[in-house]
Amino acid sequence: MTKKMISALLCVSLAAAMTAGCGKDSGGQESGSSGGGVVSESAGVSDQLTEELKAMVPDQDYSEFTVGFCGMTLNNEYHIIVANAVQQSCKALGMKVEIQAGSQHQSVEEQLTIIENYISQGVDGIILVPAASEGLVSALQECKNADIPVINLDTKLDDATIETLGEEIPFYGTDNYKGGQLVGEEVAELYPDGCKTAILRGVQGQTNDDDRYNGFLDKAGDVVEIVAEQHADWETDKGYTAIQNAIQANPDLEVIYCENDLMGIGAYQAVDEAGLTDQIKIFSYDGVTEGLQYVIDGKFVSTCAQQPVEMGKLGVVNMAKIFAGEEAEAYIDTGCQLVTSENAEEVLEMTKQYTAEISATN
Amino acid sequence: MNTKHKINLSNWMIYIGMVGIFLVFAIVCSAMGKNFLNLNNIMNIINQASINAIIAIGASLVILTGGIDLSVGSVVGFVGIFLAMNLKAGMSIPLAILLCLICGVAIGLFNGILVSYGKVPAFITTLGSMQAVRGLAQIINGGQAVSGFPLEIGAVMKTRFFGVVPIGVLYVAVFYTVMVLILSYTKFGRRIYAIGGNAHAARLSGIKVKRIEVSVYVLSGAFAAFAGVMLLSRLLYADPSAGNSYEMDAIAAAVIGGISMSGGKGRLANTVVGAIILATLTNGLQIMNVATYYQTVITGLVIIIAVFADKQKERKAE
Repeated sequence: MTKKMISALLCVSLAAAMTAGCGKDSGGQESGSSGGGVVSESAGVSDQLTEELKAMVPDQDYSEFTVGFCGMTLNNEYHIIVANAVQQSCKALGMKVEIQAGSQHQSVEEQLTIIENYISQGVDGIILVPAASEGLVSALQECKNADIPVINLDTKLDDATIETLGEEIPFYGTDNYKGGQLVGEEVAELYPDGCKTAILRGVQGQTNDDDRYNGFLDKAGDVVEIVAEQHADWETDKGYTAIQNAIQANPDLEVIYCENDLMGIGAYQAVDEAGLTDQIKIFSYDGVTEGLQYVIDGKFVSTCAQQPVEMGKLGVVNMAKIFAGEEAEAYIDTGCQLVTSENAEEVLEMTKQYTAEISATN
Repeated sequence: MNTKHKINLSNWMIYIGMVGIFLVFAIVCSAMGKNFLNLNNIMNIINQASINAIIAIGASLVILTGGIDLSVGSVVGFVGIFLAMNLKAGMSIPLAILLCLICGVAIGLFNGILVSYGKVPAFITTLGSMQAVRGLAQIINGGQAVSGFPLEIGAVMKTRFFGVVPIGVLYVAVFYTVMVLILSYTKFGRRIYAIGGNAHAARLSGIKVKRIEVSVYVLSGAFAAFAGVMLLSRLLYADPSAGNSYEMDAIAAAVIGGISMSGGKGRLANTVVGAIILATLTNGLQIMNVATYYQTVITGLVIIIAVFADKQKERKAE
């Protein structure tokens, strides 16, 4: 009897805790609410965005259509911005939208499930940010069989996948190779006589990682001497440890190239603790708000900013074109921009505006 | 006291193993012209091991009773976000840390009560709370990372004594000493071993098994929460995915240290050594700049070898 009561009590308290969590959330200022993720369901859309997007698509009623967005994760700012951009753009065009994402950077299996669910729910189109460039073939095959159009954002599906599928999938995202080249050029320019360099890479096997790496090497490979190179899986704490160890091995380290801002933040903490902020300069990538702030504070020399909002908008606009019977653009390079202390404030302001435009009404 | 003899053998082995690993790295690194064996790097290693060591001490207590706690990594992530949000809102550091510890205790209490009174297997309970707590970490700030809080919190982890000894070493020493004293010299400690050895016999001999089970999960939750505070003050940046798979690192440290997964056997000192061995592997291999793939393979092999050697010793002793 007591046991039953205790377990009942536990169930109730768990439920209470969860409701409390959600309650806190919907009252929060910066965040969204439950359902598929953190993106708010009740958000309104700015008139400016509505006008901008309506001008880009064939004039018709899109309220019949549902878009399923399958994101990589919803636990970092960059991916949240992409998801928000997709959601707001869908709303601006009057479309219904569902937002789901994997729980971690590498959750391919979860994405498979999400896509299968979308298919069985009968969504009209899927916008996908793949967790890995390969491994989603079977899900994409199912989309093809069900005649559901797919648009690929941010992380490009690899050529082998596209080939197996036998169908082009539109892709809008940063050319990470070019981004890597931008950073490489800058390093080569600042250190014409070479420098001891450490590179923090992302998750092994992702195209983003390879492109950012190879692009950098293309421009800086002949100039810099790479003394350490570690995969820190895009994570702050792993970046911290890897750089602490790299400094131990190479006390004369001069440059760190971090393939994303999160690892860069960890790298900076390690450099700062070693008291080497004057000697070691950090070049980062992504341009999330914290990364931009680090550039403003002089903790990063630069960060290579991508355009997540642009990606989301283009994805939805082109999906609408498909719904209207038109062709979608096959490939758009949304571009990236090297942010240094000269333009960091400006870019941060703009990014905040975008995040504000997208989440202010939450 | 036959058991004591057995444990002592494996006890020595792990130290030999640790020294062996140190020597191998020292030789290989110096051959490569890299500095491995110096005071600064030894401090680095212990500092890098400290967060895992503290989680692993908690995990070991749970494992000693025959249970397991998979929720600790999520607790680290949750606490980081929670602490950063509170600090950003202007809360004083001691109060904010206290609240974090209370969260850890609450989650531990939830796990412990479900396992002991609710009779839900520990693996299932903590697998569930691992997911739920990770979800909460994302919910409380909408999946966003937190920054822009006062940086004074950094003192929790960035302080160095005499300019050399990182404060992380002190935390490990304190947690370890207190827990070892409790395990060796209190009834509570001996009962933890008794439950893990044979819960039924322990119950028959009048030990209040459930209370002790609840308290080990509470300790594990609280230790993980403290580790979360340490991680935040080290990185000065709270990310809801922080602490991802830390539970596995903690279990690995305990297992390398010879804590038996079926409970009742093992020494806390060895868990700490286990954590140091894991950190040494990462440190040494990264100093040698070995590719990441090989690092995971080597770490995995070391875990297997450690357990295998432990089992062999046990069999010989029997």
